[in-house]
Amino acid sequence: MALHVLGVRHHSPSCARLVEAAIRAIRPRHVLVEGPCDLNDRLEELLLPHVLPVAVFTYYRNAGENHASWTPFCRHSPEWVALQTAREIGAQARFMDLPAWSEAFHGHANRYADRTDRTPRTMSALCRRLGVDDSDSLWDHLFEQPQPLEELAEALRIYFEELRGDDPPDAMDEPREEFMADALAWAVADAERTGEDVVAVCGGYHAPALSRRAAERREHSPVRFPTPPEPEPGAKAGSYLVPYSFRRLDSFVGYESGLPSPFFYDVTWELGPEAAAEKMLEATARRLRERKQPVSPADLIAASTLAQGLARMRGHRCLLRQDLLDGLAGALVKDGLDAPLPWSYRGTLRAGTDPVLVEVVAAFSGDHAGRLAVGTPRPPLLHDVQAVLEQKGLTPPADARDRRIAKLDLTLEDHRLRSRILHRLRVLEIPGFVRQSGPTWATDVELSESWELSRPDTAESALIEASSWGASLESAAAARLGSAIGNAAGKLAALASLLGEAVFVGIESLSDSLLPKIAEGARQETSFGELGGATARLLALWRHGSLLGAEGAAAISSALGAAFERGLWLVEGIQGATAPTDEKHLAAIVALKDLLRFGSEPLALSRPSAAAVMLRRAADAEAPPAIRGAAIGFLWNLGLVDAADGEERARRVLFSTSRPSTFGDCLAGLFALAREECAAATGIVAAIDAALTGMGQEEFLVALPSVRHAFSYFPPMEKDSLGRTVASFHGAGPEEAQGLLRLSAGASETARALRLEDEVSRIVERFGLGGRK
Amino acid sequence: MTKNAAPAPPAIQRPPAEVLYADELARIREADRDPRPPGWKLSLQAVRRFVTGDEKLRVRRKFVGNPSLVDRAMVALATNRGLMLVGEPGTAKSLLSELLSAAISGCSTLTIQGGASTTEDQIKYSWNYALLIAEGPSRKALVPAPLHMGLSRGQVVRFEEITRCPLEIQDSLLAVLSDRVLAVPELEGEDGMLFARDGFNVIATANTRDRGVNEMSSALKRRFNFETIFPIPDFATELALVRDEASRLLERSGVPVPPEEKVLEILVTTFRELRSGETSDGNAMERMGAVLSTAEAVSVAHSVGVRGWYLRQGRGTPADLVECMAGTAAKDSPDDLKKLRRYFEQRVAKRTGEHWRAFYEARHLLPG
Repeated sequence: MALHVLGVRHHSPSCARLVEAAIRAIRPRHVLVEGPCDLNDRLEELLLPHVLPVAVFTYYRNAGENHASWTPFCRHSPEWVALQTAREIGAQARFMDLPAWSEAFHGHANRYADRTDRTPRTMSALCRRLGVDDSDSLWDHLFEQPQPLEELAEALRIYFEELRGDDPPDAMDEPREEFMADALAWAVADAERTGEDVVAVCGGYHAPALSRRAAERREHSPVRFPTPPEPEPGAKAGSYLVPYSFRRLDSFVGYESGLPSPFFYDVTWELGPEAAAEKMLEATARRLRERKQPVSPADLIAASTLAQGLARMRGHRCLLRQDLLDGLAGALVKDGLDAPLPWSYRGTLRAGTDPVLVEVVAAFSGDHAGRLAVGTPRPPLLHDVQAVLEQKGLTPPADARDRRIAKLDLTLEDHRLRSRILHRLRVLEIPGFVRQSGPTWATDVELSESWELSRPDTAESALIEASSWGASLESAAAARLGSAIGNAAGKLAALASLLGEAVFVGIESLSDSLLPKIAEGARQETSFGELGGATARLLALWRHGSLLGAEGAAAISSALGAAFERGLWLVEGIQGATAPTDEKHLAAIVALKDLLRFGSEPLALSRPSAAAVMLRRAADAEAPPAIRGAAIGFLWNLGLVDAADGEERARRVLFSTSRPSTFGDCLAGLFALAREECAAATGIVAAIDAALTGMGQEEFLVALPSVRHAFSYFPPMEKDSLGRTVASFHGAGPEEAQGLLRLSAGASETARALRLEDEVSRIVERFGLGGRK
Repeated sequence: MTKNAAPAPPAIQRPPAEVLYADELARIREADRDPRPPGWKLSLQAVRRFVTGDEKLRVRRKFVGNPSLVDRAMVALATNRGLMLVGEPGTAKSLLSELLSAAISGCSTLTIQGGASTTEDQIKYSWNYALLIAEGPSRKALVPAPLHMGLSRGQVVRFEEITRCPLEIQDSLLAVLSDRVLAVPELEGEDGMLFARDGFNVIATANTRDRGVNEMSSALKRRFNFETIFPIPDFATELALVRDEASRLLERSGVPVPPEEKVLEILVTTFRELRSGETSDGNAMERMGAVLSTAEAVSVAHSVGVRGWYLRQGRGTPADLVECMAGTAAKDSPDDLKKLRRYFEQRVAKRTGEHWRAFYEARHLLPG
């Protein structure tokens, strides 16, 4: 007649073993498990013969708020083992934690994630004392070695006591611990009547507190299992089973995950810690060879020897995860590394990680995916998709061989809604919804879309798989894109195109989470051209603010601010006094200019710092001529220097780049930014004219292609008036100018003629028949 | 060994680790109960205690990397594979190699310094030519170099900057590393083959900046276990290290005032940002070509302190820092100087705080 609280680490095989043995030995009346209690009526569903890993997916929706949470189970989850064993011995099994839709879980996607933030100091002190790198190796060192279960239980109890200390629960834990304590008190009182015991399985951090709290309320224990608070009226919430995968369990992949390397622990659970090493070496070698990474038998022997040496020196009774990984790294890495070993930090793999190590980590993670048993109720996503498609008249034809075309006019509100639904299905990769044409960016001028709808056999299974992302089409698409956003962190171009997706699927919350990441990506972007492209797209969205909704408009401002800062930084780093014009760079400077023009006040962009950068660039003799010209154009066009000053500076820069190989590039930069100002300034036109007439025939031919390109920034009418001005310099009237501007031959033909003429006069000169013109 | 191991005579500028830490080593040896690999002076656990520190035995922490790195390095050495320490300059590769050999063999001076002019003679053995001519080749006439000594005494040999050596010189290690034997063809009989005694091994260091200068042959790479040492990952640890080391150096240079904390913070922040190519608030930058290691930061902090004291009898100021940094961070590369200027104009300019302002205002002190 006692309460046994078993503190565990989620997904730990040794804890699972301990839990199984304890339940068998105690044969309790009740087994209470940390998990979503809203599933208690449907435990049968959970205990169907699924292929693990599977997860309980919980959604919550209420006026603009959207939360999704997963409670994943694999074979070696202590919680899963507890439920199974309870059923075998005939004990009553229940989940005892709040449902994931309750407020405590908002913002937490994984119920069984390791919360390393709770006790960072105790943990790092302990690591220092035991000479291990981090909490994962600390855990393995202390608890994943083979040891008698009584010793393990005692060690775990002391460890968790020390970890928890007297810490009060935080805002997330308080209501949960309160609820779990109530559940335990009820179970103890109920078991007392028959003189039986109660076993509770929960995260180790909660265990000491739960024992204390449950004991405190012994006197007046509740008469029935506590009922969780209902979701607020109007809110929608629910839980159901979805397939899960090892990759999503692994902390190397996602944020908020638990024990790393799920496949390793799966093997440990199946074969025991002593035999796991060999199987893992074999699996790793197989994977490396499949991926064409050379692994010789000598390497494997070396890896095994090293791992055993490490295990022995660290005092391990068998090879633990880090011993194996370290051994593999020692044997397989045959060069210096650009990024630290992946298991020396938490979170996604860093850029530059050695490809061999990437595969080693993937082998330890495993690529098993779970499958739901036949007869599991179908997830609500299927019903939702069906209902939405019917409601909008988008149902694909019933016969798998038929096709249907849907044409949408995006100027109509109703068609826009339909387009969003189809885009959501597209991002979830549901077969049968193919876009044939449409705009590529939300602010494109093209305003119609065409979709081909069909119903292939694979559609339903794809939907069941996709249901792990959410309960409704909207939330699933949001979660799917949200995960893509996480993976694209730091990649500006990818993030910007995801923003486009967010607009297409019409989910505001996405752009809210995306825009700070875009700002972050902008701060990291190294290519000025890429930054310019993304900036121009963002600016277009910002100016059509309605597409993003009010909050998005605010968030996009900060992203634009970051892009502006970054642009100024990057433009200052471009070098090469003879570098040819890079169109992308010019477009990026134009984007910066537009940004400053439209955004300087609403976005609080600093005009003086932009001016300072551009003045430095214009005066820098080592900057590419196009950049120098563009810098002047930037200053002049925005009025950062007054008109006379702008003209004077432009003249000076043109003079200093007047060599034939650079002149046209400088002109291109200048015209790209300040075409109208140049055309209106007679002094500049005269200076260009003087520079060109000053060139010899040969020099002119060298300069010609880039000069021609520079003038292509002018529309025909302006070119015409420019021509007139130039003609007047050479004493020609308007009519003659007309003749000069409209040559009967094409430009390339004229250039050929000039070259021929040059050649002829050279020959003439050689034979002493006259001087050059 | 007793506790009264003779202290280094004051004339020695830099005593080797086994002399400098003789007391610690003696204490560790006394407490060492674990099994020792053949030829080792200490057990693996004891070596680790020596390198990563042990409060109970009053052993200072000398290497601030992950303990698992030290584990892997030791096990590689104990399993008779060579150890190759790779990393950016100034990441304490040589320090780790010195500490390991001092602890394992009690001797860290069997060192070959790699360079363009390193020859096989300097690695293996050469001859006393007077004796050679007088008596012909004999054990007596042979002058052993570090590798020969390491093999015959069963000690760890350190090969510093191995990639600075020409390929054929590097490859002369191949036979020794795989067969653990050095042929001396000039000598006859038993003396012609020198078999390695237990405890012999090689710790090499190589600089990632030298990649491509003399890339190692893959045959040689196979005989080594590679360990890459990364710069210190967190700010506080690096700051503490720079503070301690710089204070120690300043004391030895006769400067009675310790460096100012704020100036050190600017120094470490700047070095970390320029080294990693990312500012603390997440802005990326181009990395500098110059080496901006913790060791360089220490030497800059040292010279800042020396300037402050001997020029003005005060502490080093942010302006001193700019002057000293110009020499280290930019060296003679106009490219780096440009990057440094841009860093001042666009990043330092935005920082607040009196010291950062002073640092920014002093940017005209950068050369050029």
